[in-house]
Amino acid sequence: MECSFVGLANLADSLYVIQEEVYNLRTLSMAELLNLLNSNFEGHEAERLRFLKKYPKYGINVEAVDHFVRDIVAFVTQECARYTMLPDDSHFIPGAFCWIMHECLGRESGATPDGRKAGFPFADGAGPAQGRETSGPTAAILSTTSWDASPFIGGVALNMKFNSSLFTSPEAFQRLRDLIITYLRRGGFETQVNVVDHAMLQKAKENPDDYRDLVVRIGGYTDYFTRLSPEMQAEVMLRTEYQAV
Amino acid sequence: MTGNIFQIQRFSIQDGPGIRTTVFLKGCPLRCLWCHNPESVHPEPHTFFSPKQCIGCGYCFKHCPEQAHQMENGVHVLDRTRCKECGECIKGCYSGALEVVGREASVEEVITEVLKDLPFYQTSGGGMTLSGGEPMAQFEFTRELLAAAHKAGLNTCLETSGFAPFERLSALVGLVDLFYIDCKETDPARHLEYTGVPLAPIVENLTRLDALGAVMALRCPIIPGLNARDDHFQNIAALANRLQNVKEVQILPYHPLGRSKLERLGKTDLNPDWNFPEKAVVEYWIKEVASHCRVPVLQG
Repeated sequence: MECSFVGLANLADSLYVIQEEVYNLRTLSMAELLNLLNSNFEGHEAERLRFLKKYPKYGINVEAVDHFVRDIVAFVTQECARYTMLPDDSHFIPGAFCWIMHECLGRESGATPDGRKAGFPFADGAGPAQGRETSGPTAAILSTTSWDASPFIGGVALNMKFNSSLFTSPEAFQRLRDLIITYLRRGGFETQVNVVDHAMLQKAKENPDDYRDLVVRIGGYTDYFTRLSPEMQAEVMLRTEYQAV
Repeated sequence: MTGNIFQIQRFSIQDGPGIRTTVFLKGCPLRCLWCHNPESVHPEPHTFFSPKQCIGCGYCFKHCPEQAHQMENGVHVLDRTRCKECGECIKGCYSGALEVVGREASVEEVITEVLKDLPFYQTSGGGMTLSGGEPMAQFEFTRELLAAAHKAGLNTCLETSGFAPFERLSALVGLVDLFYIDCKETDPARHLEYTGVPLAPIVENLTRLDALGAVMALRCPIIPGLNARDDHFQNIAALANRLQNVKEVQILPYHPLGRSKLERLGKTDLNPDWNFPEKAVVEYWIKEVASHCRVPVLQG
């Protein structure tokens, strides 16, 4: 039987925040942290944003956070190996491939110390949580392949998204190929590539927190989509729509 | 050895061969009317202020030694005449309303960051690109970064306006695999008017770099109403034809996205009416340059 473990990134990111806020800096006690979470950060947006943005997150290739995923995966693997299931003593097979379960389970779960509010989706698959791939796809790949995925034979998926404006030439598609080859060479299991379309930009406009890492690049110009003024967002969306046609 | 940078961008795929990391150096001697990275012009760090992101936590009001953060008619404003860019207000702001652009970084620190993506460079034949700002304005830092990257076996590219003493450019010939040199305007009077610096030394540098065998690509920003002229297109082609080692011409159509950055810097946009050119217009520009040119002309 396969057991999929959903929200690996949220767990790693949360453990890092607890380590820093409660143990290293001692800005709050565990009880105070729990109160914040139970209140769903109500009236404490500054604390939520501090948890979300001050600390490095899984997916930007920082060992201090990535190692938590390594520890969690080792623990999960060990636990799965301890039990078998009736009637045939079959094993539990761990995986990090969640289909739509990250949304279902996220809806049922309270706020988490990584700055995720109650009811929001968990991270999908084995990659960074939504909006936290702030150093781009190479860093996300390095984080995702920083731990041994081989015991997770239930599947380990990394979802990547790209702006369509990035792929304007045959060379650009070759770069995507290079990216995926490097991912597989490093022990990557499965990746899904999404190209950002007009509908996704609309969602980013409405829920900027989930799309903080969405980058607009034109020539030597770079900026985060969610930081553009509404007028400029409209311009970018207009162009994306044209390109999709 | 340290320098001023404002961004290290991984997975750059439009700044040279393969998968690359582009390091943006801060500070530029030019003042191009269409600059799309206005935060790159001055070498010192700047405060980006986006009032719409403010959640009203009050941190900046409490920690600003100059009382530059004020409420005016219920709106949070940053008084730029008081702000001394000390960065105190930014330290506790996680809403994205206040951010620092630019920092001092050592050669070692930058190269460590760049080398993180070594597996991707090895798969793709990529490496490091230096951009800006104007990297030549921090010559020693630029040279050391390029030398360190070359030593690590990376492909290296340099994006420059070409406005620098020739000895500095020539000193980099063995360290740079591909020079991206701007060709912003080919009429001398207009060049001075649009960029604030003369054209002649740039053309001379191009000619002398060519004689040294430096591999080059020309990058041409095209701005409707300024340099989107047939004579300029023909002159770009003529220049590329004259220089043996120019391998490619890139046409960079104007876009107004720098406007969002100007707002955050607290500066006014002098060209509020400028907009994206139509696709057909851009295609015409490329065709016009290509019809006179011996090397490929692409949209950059």
